[in-house]
Amino acid sequence: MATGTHSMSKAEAHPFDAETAAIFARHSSDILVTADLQGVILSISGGCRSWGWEPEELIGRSATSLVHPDDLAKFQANMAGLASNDTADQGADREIRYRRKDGGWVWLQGNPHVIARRRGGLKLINIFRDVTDRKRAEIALAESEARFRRMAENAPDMIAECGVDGVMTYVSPACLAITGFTPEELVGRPAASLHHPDDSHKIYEMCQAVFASKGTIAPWPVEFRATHKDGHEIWLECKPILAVDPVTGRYTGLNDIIRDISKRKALEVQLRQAQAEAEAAAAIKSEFLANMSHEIRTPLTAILGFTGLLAERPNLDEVARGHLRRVTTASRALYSLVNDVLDFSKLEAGQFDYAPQTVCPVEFAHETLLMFSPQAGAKGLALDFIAEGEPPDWLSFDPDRMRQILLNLIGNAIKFTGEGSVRLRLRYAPVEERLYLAVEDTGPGMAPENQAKLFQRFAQIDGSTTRKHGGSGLGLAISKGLTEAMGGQIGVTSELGVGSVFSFFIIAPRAHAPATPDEAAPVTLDGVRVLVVDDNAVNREVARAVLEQVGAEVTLAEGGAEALLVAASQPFDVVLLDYRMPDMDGSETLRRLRTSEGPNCGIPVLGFSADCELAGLGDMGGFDDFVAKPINPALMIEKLLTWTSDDDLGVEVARVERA
Amino acid sequence: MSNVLEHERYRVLIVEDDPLMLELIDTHLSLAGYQTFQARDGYQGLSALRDTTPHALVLDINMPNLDGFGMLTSMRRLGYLPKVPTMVLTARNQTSDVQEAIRLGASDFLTKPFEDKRLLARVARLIKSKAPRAHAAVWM
Repeated sequence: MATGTHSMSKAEAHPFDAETAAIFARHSSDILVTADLQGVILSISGGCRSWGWEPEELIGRSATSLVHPDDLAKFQANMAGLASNDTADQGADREIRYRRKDGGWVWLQGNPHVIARRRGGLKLINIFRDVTDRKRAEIALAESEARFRRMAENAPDMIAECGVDGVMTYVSPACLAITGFTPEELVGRPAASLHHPDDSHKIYEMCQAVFASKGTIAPWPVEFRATHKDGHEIWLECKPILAVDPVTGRYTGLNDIIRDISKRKALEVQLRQAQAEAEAAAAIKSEFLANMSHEIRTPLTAILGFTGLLAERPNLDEVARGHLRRVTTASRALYSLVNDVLDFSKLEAGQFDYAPQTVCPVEFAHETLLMFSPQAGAKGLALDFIAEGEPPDWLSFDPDRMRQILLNLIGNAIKFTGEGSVRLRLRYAPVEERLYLAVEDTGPGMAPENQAKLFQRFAQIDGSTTRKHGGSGLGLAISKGLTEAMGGQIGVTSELGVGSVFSFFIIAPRAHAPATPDEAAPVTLDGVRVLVVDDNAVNREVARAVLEQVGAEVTLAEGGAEALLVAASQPFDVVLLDYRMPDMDGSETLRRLRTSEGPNCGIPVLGFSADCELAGLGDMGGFDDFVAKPINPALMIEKLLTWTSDDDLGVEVARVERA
Repeated sequence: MSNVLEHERYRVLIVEDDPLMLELIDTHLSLAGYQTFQARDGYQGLSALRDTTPHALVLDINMPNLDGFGMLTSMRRLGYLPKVPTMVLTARNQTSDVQEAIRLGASDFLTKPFEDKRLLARVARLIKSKAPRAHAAVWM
């Protein structure tokens, strides 16, 4: 009762006079109640009207009858505490639900004081504050918290929260299954202690970016490695959300749902392996095809070679000649088949050699079509050529590749067309730089379901076509590969009994007219390998242009040192060597080449000279011959021809008596 | 070609394991007037090299027992290179093969399959590269 006495003395020392107290009681949103220690209301201020009650209705009633049943125990404990005036009750929960007149409930926070009654005994003065709103918010929060925990406790993903210091403040129990650590073991540890050192920067950078963007950038998932308690590596994926104080906008920590992606990672690894294996298998297959084709070509060369030799023998009778012709024809067919397979495997392996040249498209296409005149004539088919619009005179594309496609399409058209015509149509779309070509026939046509299969490799409409018409079944697949490699597309439209149209385009930019040689040179340096050494770029390029025009394979060197380097590793048939060069001049280069052990130490070397400076040199200075500058194409080709002449050289040399 | 001139013809050794290819090359070279010798692998090739002292060697790369690389290496050790101008035959146009062969001392290469004209031109070039010059008498 000592504290009770203390309370009483406090109440007696109240600074307000009665009038002030009355005004407070009337106007305060708080409600002033006096009651006895059994809870019977002695007086109550008008604020109770906000709960629907008139003060008169409540005075004399026991407050107990107004208390929410769930809070009754709390209420009674509080009353008992107050009666005994236990100081421990100072911190008691005095938030209790009371009934409104309409049956609803208000949360009232009591602030009771026990004071002495004038007539003796004790009474309660309680100042109630309506805390319904706060209480509801608190309950909602608690409920959401409980719901969150429930989710977190059961989530297969690991829910984690950490503060600004990066120390984990909460980790859901899933961490045990995922990391092997219990939540207790993880809470209090820095989140980064889980991250693989090589991966932590990824998470850090993402958080920095999100933070720096002030939340305008959404966090993205980051995959990282972590170490399981038992030591093995696991893959996790985090996507942390920055927790920001809604009032201050300050960053308060990170929340995250961390997913175990070890299985997915393992699957990815497997998938990659499987893909690598599949690619390797495909590469092996392509290589096998390429090798096999080569291996087949070698004996075929022998067959063709011997057949050729045999055919040249004078005393063959007609029967033998006939047989020989058949062997030749069959070998050629086989040879082209093997070439198809080789081409195709090269295309598949991505080894596509594209050598664009300046070509007159109309002339080119027409000439290619006319190559089929004998076949078409034999079957009585007409060959038509139509150039639509005004195609440019010169375009840049690879004529060999283009010819390959056309030969295949026109060849097919003629093969499958019994009567009527085969028509080649050409058109140029200047804006897209597309050269369109279409081969139209009046053949049997194809059903739609067969058209799709056409461009697949090895597909022929049925097996019997192969027997009837031959071919590798790769022609259209190769054509498709070639058009696509040249930036184009190929397709077919066809109608049964009417005919088929195979059309394609390639990218072919306009080109300038090529410099025409003085006259169509009958000479050829086909396959002759020439090393041109000159410090003057113009001379080099002119020489190259002239020589390549007649089929030579030209390699350029800017000086003696470079020439020696190139000559050390690559065989040539002839060297064109500038006499006057800085650093290492022609004579020195020649001397070193001759004394080297490389593949070219003994080959013909022609001095390339601007004037008669070489005339005075004894023994021609070691050069085999001279080519005068400025370059006269015809003379230069003639000189090179003399020193590399192809045809009878072998015989000539072989028969020369040795000195 | 009469027998009288036999010893004055240029000698070419062909080392090739594929009998068809060997026969084909031999035929072309013989018809062109060369005196040809055959060997079927690197070992045979080395002994034929010693026996025939050819003016040129046509050497296949892919062979059983001792392959072209092995033969080139041995030739160099034994002193036949760079004296005997050598052209290697590669079944595939493998630049790495060619580079390796040239590094080992070969002077030229020819990719199979080849045109007969080119074979003859290359062999002629091989012999020409050595014969008319000062160091023609390599075997003396």
